[in-house]
Amino acid sequence: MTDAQLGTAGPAQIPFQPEGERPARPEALLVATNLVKSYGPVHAVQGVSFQCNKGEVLALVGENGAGKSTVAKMLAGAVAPTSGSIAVNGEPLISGSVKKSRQSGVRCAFQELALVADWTVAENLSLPDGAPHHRFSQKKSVAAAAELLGTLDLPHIDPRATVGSLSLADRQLVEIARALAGGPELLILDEASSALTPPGVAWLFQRIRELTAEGGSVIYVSHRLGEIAEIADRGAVLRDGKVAGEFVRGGWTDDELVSLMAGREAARFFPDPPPRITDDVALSVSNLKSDGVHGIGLSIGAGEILGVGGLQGHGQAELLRALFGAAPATADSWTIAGRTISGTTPVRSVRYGVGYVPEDRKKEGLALEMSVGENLLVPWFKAYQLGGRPLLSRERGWISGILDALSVRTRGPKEAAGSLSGGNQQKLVFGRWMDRSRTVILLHDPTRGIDVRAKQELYAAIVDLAKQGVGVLWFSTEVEELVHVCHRVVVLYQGAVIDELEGERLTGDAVVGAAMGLRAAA
Amino acid sequence: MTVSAAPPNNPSVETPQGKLRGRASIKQAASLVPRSVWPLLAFLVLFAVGGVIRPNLITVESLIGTATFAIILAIASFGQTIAVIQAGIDLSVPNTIGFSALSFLGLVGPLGPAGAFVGALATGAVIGFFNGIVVSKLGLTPIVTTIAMNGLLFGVILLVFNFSELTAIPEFIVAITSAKVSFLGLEMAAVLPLGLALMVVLQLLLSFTGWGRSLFVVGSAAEAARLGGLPVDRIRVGGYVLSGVLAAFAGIVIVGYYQQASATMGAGYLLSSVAAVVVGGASIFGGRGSVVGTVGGALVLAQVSTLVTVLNLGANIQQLIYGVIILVVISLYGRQGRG
Repeated sequence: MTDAQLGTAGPAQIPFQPEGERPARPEALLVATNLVKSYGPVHAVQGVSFQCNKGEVLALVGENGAGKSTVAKMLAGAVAPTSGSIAVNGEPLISGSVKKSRQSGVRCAFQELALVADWTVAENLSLPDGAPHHRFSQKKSVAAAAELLGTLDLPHIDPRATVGSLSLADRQLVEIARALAGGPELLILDEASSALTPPGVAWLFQRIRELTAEGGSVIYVSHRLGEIAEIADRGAVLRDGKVAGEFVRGGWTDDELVSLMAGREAARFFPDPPPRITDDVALSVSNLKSDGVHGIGLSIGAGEILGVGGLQGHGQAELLRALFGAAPATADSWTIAGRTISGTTPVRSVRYGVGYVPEDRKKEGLALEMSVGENLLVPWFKAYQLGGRPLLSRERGWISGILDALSVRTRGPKEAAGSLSGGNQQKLVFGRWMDRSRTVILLHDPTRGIDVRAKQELYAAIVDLAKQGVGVLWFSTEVEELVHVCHRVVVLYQGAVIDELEGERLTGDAVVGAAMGLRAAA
Repeated sequence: MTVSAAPPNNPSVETPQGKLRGRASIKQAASLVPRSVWPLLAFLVLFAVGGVIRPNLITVESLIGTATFAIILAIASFGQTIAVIQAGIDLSVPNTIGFSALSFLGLVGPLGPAGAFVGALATGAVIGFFNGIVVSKLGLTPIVTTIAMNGLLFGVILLVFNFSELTAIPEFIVAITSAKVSFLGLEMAAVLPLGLALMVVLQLLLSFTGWGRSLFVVGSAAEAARLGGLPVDRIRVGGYVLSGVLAAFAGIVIVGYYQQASATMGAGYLLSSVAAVVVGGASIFGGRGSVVGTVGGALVLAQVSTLVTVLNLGANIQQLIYGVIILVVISLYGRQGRG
């Protein structure tokens, strides 16, 4: 993504100014300049600059993986930027230390709750302010917590209750209360409203208004466009680790923001899905229920690539695990290749012709100490038959066929899987299901964190599988993959299908919009 | 991440590798040596050290004596090897040895030698089955489960067995353990070729069968094995059953060789069986190990024991040295794993 591409990508309707050209105004509280954060070869944030003025609410929006949380963590000091600088009140922020950030008046409520579940609310609230260095008094901390919760208008939370016994929403409130406790100059809320109920959100907005009235600032990271419309004075849209555009209160619509978040990429990068040649159904399920999946019905045709979209944590991972039998699940009806089943386990799923590429290739996909060849053969080990080298030589043809077809860069089937690069490891997890007469393949974001070439090789392999008549269920966090390579896309929202997109309606905006919980008119 | 940047990426990755070739090649050469060879080399070094201290130790008889002691330890550690490979541990080995030995002697009367042999192995299988079920189905950690099983067995041993009748050792057990046989022109106790034969059979099972390889996958990455469609629980239970059977077999062998049995006869094998497996190159975190390596590890420990005796240091020092060896070996392998 070059800047030139960005220029064409951003719709002109949204007024956005390149950050670098604007001089930092005197009331700027926080100025972030050219922040870069790389994790090995993955560039999570690549040159983000923005500023947050005194007394304003700045929204940071973007899709999963756009870099919002990484930026928030850098501001909070939880993550040290690879390069770039952050200044608060003109003083450079010492990065990489939450404590230093707190002393500069920057406090953060984290997305994944940073509370100790076995501790009481009072203990958790007293944790950040150097509790280990002072004498700790249970009585004093409870009194202080009760006072704090009282002033913050949260009388229903008992300071003596353990955090683990609270509801998720109340835990979130405690996390926010903890960030508010010291009267921060800059409060960072990283998806802090994700677990809150509407009254909870109203409470949060009340606190934000109090804070900004006193001259404090808030950086509000969220997916929820409705909330952003209500509370944000200005905002920045992040995409692929860069600022894709900015907006000011009242100057945007949902659609504009959504297109800015989804972006546009050159379509030639993606192969087209192959034409459907049969109407056979590979897998169908109705009212599937599992932990995090609340009654999903879907059907995958033979040779169809069915995409699964949605924001993280809306049931995609759980759906795939339930369909493979890795998590217990029930359904009103459930068929695989026309055969009715009442439930499944991974062992039976493999027998029924289902393959699964799990989320975490290192932990769930591969035995890293074992060889490339044996990792490919894992699902095909038979306890009472040969294994090891005799099996490798018997399956030599199949193994080298897979390694060639996916262009796996390895020194051979005997190399340890752990010494391959991430993309090549992913190909192994995928390759074990190829040419093995599968009915359905379930893919959990197989292209996450791998390089462009490996991505394209995987796209080709997925399209090839579909050509062979395999039904592909593909959960991807990259909207462009869903839009370009899938026949049809179901978007999950809160554990259920909120929309099904096909043909003309299958656009990036529609996928992102549905993921936000906006069901487009048909 | 741009399209244009991708193609030249690959060759440029290989250049820095070329610069490091000198150092890498030593590492590579070292990695070509099978893991199970290292303990054998260590044993030879220790054997030579013994010769320096006491030149009369370098004899074939001395070697066979140490090897015989080692092979009994190795037989007791084979079950442990299986448990460790699947990322478990079997701390019930000591009292499984005692329980099976005493059951064997108790059953010889009613069932005859062959029946007693099968019966004693069956007790090992049952013990292993319970270990496996508790670990895989109830999800308890192996270390807690098997140590509880060890304590439980000791209680059962004290309750059940009447020690006065445990004297007669059947002929055929003596014949396969302590009887002198001539093997490769050398006189040795029958247990040595027996143990080596068992080693070969088990190594074939581990290296060349689907079950054996599945055990390694489960030990290396249990969740990957499960999501790859392997019956992880069944493989685990099978592993513990085999571990129990092998410990029970060790109990019978020990009875045959030493011609005595007691409630605490297995106690010495708690630490030493783990030590032999770990020195033999197995990863205590699972997924790596071999019974050939375990024999090598047992040889090292046996030679240490010989040296301790020769230097007149006493049994307590021997335990201390075993403990030090385990710590050193685990930290060495840990370093290698990260490198």
